[in-house]
Amino acid sequence: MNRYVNIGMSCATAALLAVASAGVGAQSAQSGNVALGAVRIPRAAKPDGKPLPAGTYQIRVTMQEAQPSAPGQTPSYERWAEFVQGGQVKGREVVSVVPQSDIAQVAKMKPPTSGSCRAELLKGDDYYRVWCNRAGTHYLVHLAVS
Amino acid sequence: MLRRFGILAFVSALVLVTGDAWAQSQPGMQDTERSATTTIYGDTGLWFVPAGEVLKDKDWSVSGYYINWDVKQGFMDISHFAGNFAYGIKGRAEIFGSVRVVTRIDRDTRPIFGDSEIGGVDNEYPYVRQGWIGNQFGDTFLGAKFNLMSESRMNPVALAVRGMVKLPTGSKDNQSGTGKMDTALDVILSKEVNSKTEVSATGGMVFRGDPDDFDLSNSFRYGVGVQFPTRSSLKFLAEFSGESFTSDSVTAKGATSLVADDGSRAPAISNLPSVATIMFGATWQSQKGFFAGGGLGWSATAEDRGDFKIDSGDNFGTKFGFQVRIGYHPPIAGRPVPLPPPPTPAPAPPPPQHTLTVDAQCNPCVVEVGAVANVTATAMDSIGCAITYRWTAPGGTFASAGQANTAWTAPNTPGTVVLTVTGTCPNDNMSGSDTVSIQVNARPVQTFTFEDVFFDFDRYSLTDAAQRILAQAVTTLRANPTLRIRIEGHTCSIGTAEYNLALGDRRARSVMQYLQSNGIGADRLTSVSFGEENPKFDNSREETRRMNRRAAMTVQLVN
Repeated sequence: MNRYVNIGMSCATAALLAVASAGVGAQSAQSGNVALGAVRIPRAAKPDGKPLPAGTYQIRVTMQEAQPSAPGQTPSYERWAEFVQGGQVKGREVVSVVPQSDIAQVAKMKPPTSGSCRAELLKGDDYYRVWCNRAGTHYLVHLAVS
Repeated sequence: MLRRFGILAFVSALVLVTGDAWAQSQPGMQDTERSATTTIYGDTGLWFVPAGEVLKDKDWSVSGYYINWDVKQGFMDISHFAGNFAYGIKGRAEIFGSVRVVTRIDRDTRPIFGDSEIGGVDNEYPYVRQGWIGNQFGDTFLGAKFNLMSESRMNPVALAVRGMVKLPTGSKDNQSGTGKMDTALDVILSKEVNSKTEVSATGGMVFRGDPDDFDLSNSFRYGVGVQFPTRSSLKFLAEFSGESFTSDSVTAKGATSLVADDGSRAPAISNLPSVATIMFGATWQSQKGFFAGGGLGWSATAEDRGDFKIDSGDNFGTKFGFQVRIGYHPPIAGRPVPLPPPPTPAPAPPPPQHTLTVDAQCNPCVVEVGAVANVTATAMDSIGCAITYRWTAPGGTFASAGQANTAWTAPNTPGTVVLTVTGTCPNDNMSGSDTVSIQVNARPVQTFTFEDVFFDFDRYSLTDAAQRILAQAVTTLRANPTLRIRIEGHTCSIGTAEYNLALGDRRARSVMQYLQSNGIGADRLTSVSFGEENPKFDNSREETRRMNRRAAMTVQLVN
């Protein structure tokens, strides 16, 4: 178990370092935000319970961790991500960060190539999964379909 | 003479040997006392007349007397100042004595001696040959009186024998005696009538020793007297006493007769008439026995002087004689009186009513279910019976229901339980009982709260933060060994239901393995997976959805 924790921690650290290093040039004006890539959402969704029209959005992850804290979860693995369109944030949702070492446990499908994102329907089209791969660190955003 | 002393000695021995037995108190009777005085010889009696009673054992009396009487021969007036004493022996006898310290005799006939009728000599003082002999030491009398019957011993009368000797301490030279020893033996009968009047009578013989010059006559002397009231401090007395001589004359021995100072000669034969004296007196006596009294005696047989041409102006002194006495005589034993009837005994108290009460106590009187209370029964029994006890109760169990003190284990049902104890006396099966109520309370529910353990997305591994939470659970489980918990595995709604059910199971088992690896027995742990079925938070938003990725520990059973 500790092994997993250590692995998780080291992966998270690596992921953060990767995010930090890879996103230097793509960072927004706000410090700590990392652009993950663009994704097209074919149907309207409800990130964070709010409507988000179908369309293509730039996804960027922030340093803001989800609240409240959930003891046992890795705080930095649950962070807010923003759906930006036309330079405006159209929606926000919490993204789950999965290091490369754990992605095989989490998702059986082939991950998107590094630097790209894709959206896919899950569970009888109940959810959109927006999956971004940035330098081996995977960002999963699950959006309820409207 | 020897025979008379032999009789006296025999009587003395008889009295003294049997005295102890006779001195015993009469059964059922109560001893009493009454006052008594002495006679002129010192023994117990009226004045001249003795009484049949004697002093108590070791009691003593003492008295002083002035005695005066007249005799016909020479119209002599005889006076004595006598000191007397007496001592009681075992309540059956007394010894006594009288010393006539001063004897005075006045002879009035002139010439001193003359004819045989009044000019002769006296039988008791034959040597008086002067008109006034002056103050001379007189004779001494010693005697013993033996009490044969006594009213103190419930005899109807008191009877005594008195023996007495006259020691010739008065000499013929100073004319105050004969110089010879006399003896006397008297029988005395007396009675206290109705506790008011003492009546006494005596009679006896006087045996006189004859001096060289005279043949003296023995005599029968007698006396009766009455004194009343005997139990008053002031008593009055009347006596009649006298003496009859065995010879009617005193005869001079030899050719030479007694010559008086005036040269007259005593006749060869002097008439000796009997004498009789009546006396009246009064005595005051204290309760302790001190007394003083005076009396006047009248000589019934004395003659008037005028009849013999003797100065009649002194005739009063010829017929009367003054008597004075003072002394101490302690009370003597009186007739016993029946003991007062014993006080009527109080009716026997009814047999004590048998009372039996039992008091029951509990400690504590409020217990939790299944807990133990001590109950105690205390019996109060009026007859000291060996009480047996029996405890009963509708619930719970007694350790020793037959003991006064026992432990009682409360049932597992809360409520008030009334315990009854009954004490029984085996002697008469009397019983008493008491109850005590014990409040049985439910055991307070102990609340155990375990924090949920959260997992990362689609993971079941335990982070350090998760292990810290579980460490607290381990501590709680160790402190409560009977605590059993169920571990529930939960997931969010992402993924298929089947997948989530398996993920929840892995999460639950992950927690279970941690607890077991920290010493919590597997028998205390169960696990279950609810998968995504029991979301605690909103699954439509990730901010809350993530909170459904958890394992929860719930208490399964509390003993």
